[in-house]
Amino acid sequence: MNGVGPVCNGGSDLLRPAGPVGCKIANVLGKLVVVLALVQAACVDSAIRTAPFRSRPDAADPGSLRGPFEGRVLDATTKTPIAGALVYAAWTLERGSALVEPAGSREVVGSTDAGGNYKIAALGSLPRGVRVADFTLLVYKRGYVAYRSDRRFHDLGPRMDFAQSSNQVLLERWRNELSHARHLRFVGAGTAVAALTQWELADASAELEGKRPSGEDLRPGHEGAYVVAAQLLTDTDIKARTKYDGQFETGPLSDEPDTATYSSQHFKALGRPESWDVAIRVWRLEPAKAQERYEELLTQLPGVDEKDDIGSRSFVAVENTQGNEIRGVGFLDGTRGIVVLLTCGANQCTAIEDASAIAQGVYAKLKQLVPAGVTPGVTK
Amino acid sequence: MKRIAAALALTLFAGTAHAWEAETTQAGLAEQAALSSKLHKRLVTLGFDGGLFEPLTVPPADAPTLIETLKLLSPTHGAVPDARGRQTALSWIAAGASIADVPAKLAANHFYDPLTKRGWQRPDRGVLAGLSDSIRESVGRASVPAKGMPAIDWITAKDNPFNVDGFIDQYVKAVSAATPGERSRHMAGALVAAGAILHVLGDLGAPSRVRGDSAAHFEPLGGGPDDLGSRFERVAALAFGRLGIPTPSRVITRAHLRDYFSDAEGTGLADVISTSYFSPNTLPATTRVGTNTHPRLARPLPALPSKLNLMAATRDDGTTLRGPDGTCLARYRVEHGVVSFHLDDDCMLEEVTAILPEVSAYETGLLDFLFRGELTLTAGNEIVVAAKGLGAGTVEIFVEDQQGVRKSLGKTQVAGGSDQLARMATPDSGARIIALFQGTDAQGEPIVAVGAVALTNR
Repeated sequence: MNGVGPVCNGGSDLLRPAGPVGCKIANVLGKLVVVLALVQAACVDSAIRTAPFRSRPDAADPGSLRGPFEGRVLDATTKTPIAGALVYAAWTLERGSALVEPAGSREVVGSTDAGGNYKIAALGSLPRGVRVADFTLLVYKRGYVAYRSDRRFHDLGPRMDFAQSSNQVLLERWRNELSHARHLRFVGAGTAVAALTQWELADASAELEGKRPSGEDLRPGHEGAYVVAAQLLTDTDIKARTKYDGQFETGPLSDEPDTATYSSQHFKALGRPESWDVAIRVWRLEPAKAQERYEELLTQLPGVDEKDDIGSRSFVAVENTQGNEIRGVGFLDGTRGIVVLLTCGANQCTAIEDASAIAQGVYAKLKQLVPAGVTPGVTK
Repeated sequence: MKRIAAALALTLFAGTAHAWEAETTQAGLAEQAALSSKLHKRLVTLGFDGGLFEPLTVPPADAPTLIETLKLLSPTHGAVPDARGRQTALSWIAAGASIADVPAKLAANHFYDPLTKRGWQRPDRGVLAGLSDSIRESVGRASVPAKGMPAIDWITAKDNPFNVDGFIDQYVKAVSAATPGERSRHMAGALVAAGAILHVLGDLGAPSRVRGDSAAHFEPLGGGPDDLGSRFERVAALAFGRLGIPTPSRVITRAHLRDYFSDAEGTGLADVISTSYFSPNTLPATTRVGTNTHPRLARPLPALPSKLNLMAATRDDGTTLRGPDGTCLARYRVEHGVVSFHLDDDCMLEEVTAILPEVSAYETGLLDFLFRGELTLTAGNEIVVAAKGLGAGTVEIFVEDQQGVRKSLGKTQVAGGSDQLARMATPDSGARIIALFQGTDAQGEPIVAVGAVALTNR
């Protein structure tokens, strides 16, 4: 069932002309109409459209736009699982009647595990009067053609094989004759996606000029170390350690925008003070510059204690601002040229060990996503 | 096509709809128009080297309302800038097309009936529905305006946040502002305005919007009492989305901006659509079959054939009324001696498939019209600025240094009627010269014309 909230039925069959019995009945009917109209007007908390996809590949019934979603990402040629692909999901929201307006969106960013699997939790509660209009899943891995749950790349026609559960995503390898201009339109936007695809801009522009693209080698395994913060840490990772049972709103931190060499992800605890928040910042640099960035963090952050138990080097830090303690863990992976800083409020990470354990998980994922010896953004 | 129709049937029984959907159909139309137009070359000429894929930045602090509005959109549809307000030129156009009806009351200005010259009129929905609307409004729910300004007037209306004057203002600054950052911001602003103007034109590709059929936008579609809209426009969104919008059938050129919407010859988009297609509530009237069966028409066009196929119409599934190009215009059926007409999803899908390339053609033409002004610059000992087809206005010449900073070298009035607009001594230093004309064209339409020439050979 897709609808949520109270079931509301209109009472149009009450609309009969008042008979000769007169004012009393008309009065009663009038009141009934008002009551029904009031009920009808007030009971629209939020609604969900019928999903344009199936619940499972082998099922006839439609899935739910609300989710949850799960599936597996495979190489279309070899049928082997693809680990570390960006999984980006967004729900489109709207409000209004007849003349409708957008009402925001909800995003989830993650990546596939070693087996190529992805999981997206169901959509949480929504503001009153907001409808879920659409859900789109995007899977992107450099070296492959992106996958959208609503459209196919080759002809831009509607995709009919997306399913809510047990979905199979076959990523086709990129071929140099394919169009980057078409591909950029296809992947759409979103900060994490834009950071991963900005290298295609020059080739897309060259295509419109009638020039050949650079012909960069994009065969799988030659794609360089493109990774963004949202791929390294998910709300599930945090909850697994801290046992937090609330909801997070995710998105990049607002203090510094994402660039080709920097990305961030903020896990804002909904309805809670900042002491429940978690954030991760990732710098992807040449090894020497990564070292410099790490040294800067050591000197800039308060309460630093070097531990060197994650990556090449690591530290823990504790900052106490107006009684609000924030625990931080930073580490450097010198060979990959990656610096990570994880910060966690004292209510979420009740001990520094919580932050350290989460950072260990981030490092494990980083090693899985970025092969050793690959410098970020530089192809082999 | 059958698979699409099946998918539509699966989805539509509880779906919803409104205008051409802003984030899908409108954004896709604007993108197709941009990709099919000459805009890429114009942007490159102006120093935005990546053309349609040049990243342009609007710092959120400079345009907080715009950025907040864009955050209401879903990033998957390609029109939401990153945290510092950056996205490609192509995405800024799509952004404008996506927010032209935010807040929703602005969408009431996206209707135009060329027959009556009127825009949106809220239909009388009966006592219960009307009461329900009033109560919903009183508790802060969606309010539907009683009237709207005709779309053809809305594009130049002062109340329109994305009107033609706003476009021209931003376009001029995108050329004349001193720093690359300022020019980037203003070009993004110009593209947002252009995208919004395309949206208003594109809306006139929906038959209900050009046949005075406001009631078609209140079809109850099963997703709750608020979930009302145009089934026709939802069919377009489901079948084509943003990415599947077809390329233009051709590029429409007109001498006047309003002519893209409607003109005396009946060749504007509103004219063509209103005379070629029925909308759900302007179908031929239900009529008792007699010796001479001629269902009454709400409007003269589209006309019915001299003889309906009443024999075929007696079948359970009736028969189809087709237009000159074979596109379904309506289904009709005879039952109990009465012939009645309706539009089903398959028929609407055929119409949408025929209409969207036309809309795309008009939008491409309109985009080229907005950016049409071109100046020819030659730089020797003197800089000479020339152009064809311009009227009175001003010409300003700028020199750009190696860092991309522009400085005005002078501004002069021109009376029009001459191909050569201005000349001045070439400056001693600089990377290139840019010229900007603002005034009217030979037809008296407002125009901005631009041109550039490199100084690298001096």
